[in-house]
Amino acid sequence: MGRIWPIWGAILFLTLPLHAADRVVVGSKNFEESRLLAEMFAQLLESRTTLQVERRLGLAGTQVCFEALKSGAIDVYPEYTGTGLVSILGEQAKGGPDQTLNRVRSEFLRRWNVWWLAPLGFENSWEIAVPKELAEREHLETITDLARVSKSLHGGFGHEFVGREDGLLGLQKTYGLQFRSVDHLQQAIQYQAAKQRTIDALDVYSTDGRLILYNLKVLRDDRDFFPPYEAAALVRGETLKKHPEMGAVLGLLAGSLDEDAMRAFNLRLQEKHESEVVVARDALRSIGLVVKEGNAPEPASRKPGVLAYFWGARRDLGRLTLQHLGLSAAALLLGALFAIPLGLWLERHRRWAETVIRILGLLQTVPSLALLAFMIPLLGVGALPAIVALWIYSLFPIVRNTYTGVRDADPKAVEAATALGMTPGQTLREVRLPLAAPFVMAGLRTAAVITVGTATLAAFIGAGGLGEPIVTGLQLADSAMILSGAIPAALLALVVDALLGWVEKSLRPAGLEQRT
Amino acid sequence: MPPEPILEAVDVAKTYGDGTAALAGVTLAVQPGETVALVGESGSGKTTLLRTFNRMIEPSAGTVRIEGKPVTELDPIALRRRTGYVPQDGGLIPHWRVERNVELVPRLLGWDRDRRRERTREMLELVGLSAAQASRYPAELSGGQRQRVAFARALAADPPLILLDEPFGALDALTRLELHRQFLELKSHLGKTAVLVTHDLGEAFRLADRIGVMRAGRLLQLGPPAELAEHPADPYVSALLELRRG
Repeated sequence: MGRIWPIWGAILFLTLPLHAADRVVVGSKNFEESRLLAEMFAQLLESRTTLQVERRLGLAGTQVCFEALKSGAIDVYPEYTGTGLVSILGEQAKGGPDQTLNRVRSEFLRRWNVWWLAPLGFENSWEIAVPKELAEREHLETITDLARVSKSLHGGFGHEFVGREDGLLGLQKTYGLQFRSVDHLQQAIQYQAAKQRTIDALDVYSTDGRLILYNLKVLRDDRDFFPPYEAAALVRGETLKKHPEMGAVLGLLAGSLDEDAMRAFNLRLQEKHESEVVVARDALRSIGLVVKEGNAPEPASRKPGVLAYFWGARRDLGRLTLQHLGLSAAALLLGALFAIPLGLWLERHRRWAETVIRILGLLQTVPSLALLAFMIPLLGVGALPAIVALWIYSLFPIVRNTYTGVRDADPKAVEAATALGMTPGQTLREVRLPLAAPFVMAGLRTAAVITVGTATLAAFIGAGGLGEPIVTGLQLADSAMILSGAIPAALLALVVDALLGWVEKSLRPAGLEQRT
Repeated sequence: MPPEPILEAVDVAKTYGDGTAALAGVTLAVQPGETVALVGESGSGKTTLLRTFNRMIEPSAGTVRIEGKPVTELDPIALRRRTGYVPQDGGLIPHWRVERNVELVPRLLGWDRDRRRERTREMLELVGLSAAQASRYPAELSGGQRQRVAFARALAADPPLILLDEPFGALDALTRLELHRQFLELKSHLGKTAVLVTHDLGEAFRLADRIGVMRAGRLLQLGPPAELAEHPADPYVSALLELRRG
């Protein structure tokens, strides 16, 4: 028992910040607007309260965020009322913004003691947009106006939008829309196509910055077909009880943002690749909730070359590398502590060996993202579930190599040692384990490389590490940022492999010929 | 009246779970100081019988006695520590130097370091290995040298009884002859009791005081080489001897 304590200590240390008393954790989903809003929450809380704020930005999607909130891994994150109604409560969208808000408010309070604070003032819902020039020529303000002229227009819609009842199908019924032709397009291509006037109408999110860039006009949904997606802060009731000031401070944001403002902010994030830290500060300034200066350092501008980017981000990368190593090391250490004894036990109870090793092998084939997602309902988000998932991946190579290494260790020598009066324990300690050590080490080495590689995905559940710039970079289509995570992660795997290779070699007992 | 046998097997049988009988009731007695060779084809049960003597295999029926005591009443670990054992290929522990291999049993018995070191030196000298070879690893020795180390290891704690399982089987003809000569020297010198399993009748004739011929789990005949040669008790034994002469 005694020697396990340092590891539990390490885990506690890694997860402790989540539970410290005067700390709140702000989360976000993994797209620009969600990160921006979360950063605004964080900066506002930092400047107007004494709370320590921790950021867990870029969690993978609604389910992850909401599970994290319920479990207390995060305290607040920006959510949309329509998402709350349809995705979380699983209800049909009906009624206007107020009805939707009232519905999710009461249900979330009743079921989970989770509070919807006052909406921020804008919606980010599905809308139909047309080129401004077309709107002016045909005097289009609403979708009803569009239906009037749609027979002569080409529509270009996303794959998902085309197939859904709350997408094009329902829209056509509600408004009697009939296009001359309809193309199914990727989102990025839709905007290009609209610019070149290959298509005349497209589905958009109402606060997408590209609406400005591509000169598009959003048509009003005058028959309230699309469910309202009002943005608001979603907060844990327990946190509000402990820190009532949090509700008051975040309440300052109620009704303070509109779609035009959000499009402009999103544009800066999406196309100009500015940092959400800077944009959030400007946004707070623009609505008069100035944050004190010097709070967040100005990050490097996002468009320099890769090397300059690396240099600018060196301090962050150092921290992330340490975090990455910490996650991997904790998982590997726990893996070794569990898997080596298990391998030895299986060698003594061989009828279980096949089954156990096969089950561990099966676990190995679970896709990493799926495994991480399974962890969330059980362990929330952050370092702990990531370590557990990585731990699971580390087991198979270690158990298998320990088992076969000890089982196949020089049978003649083992037999002779036994026949001359060594006890089973002595043969294990003095003969079989030393002979198996290079195999056990090779298993550990495989596990280490898997762990270091897979740990990049831990960023999806907010555990940090070198996956963080990769995940964010993918969202922002910023290759320098992606590389700033991917290259150190690859180097790290190489270094760890080389290091353990050296240990493996030095553990090879003297007197043994190279077994390959 | 003959002296009390050091080793006795009475109706020893071994049947495996799947019904195959490796030993079908074998009775023999080995007197102190003699060398008994067990010969037979592979599958005749000779190695199985040998392994019941140090409880590496537990018989399904019958009794094995060492110095008059049933082995089932002895602690198997203690029994093995005072019974020498030399397998084919030596069975040396590959990551231990020669000296550590040789002092294995004395160490298990808790001898102090000086006594162990002295004994190891003595044993290596006895089997004709130099002090320089003491610090080599088994892989750095020739097959014959390894087998000498195995003999030194078996003798190190001065056991009264030594079990040898095809100890010369993997050696080339010249080395084998060399080791045969050494075995005979040791035998006259030390006066140990030895049970030698071999499939080589010539080897048995050279080294053993008495020879037991085994076939299909039975001991067909046990006697001095001359007796076997003159009065084979079984057609198989005479056929075997014919083969040797031819």
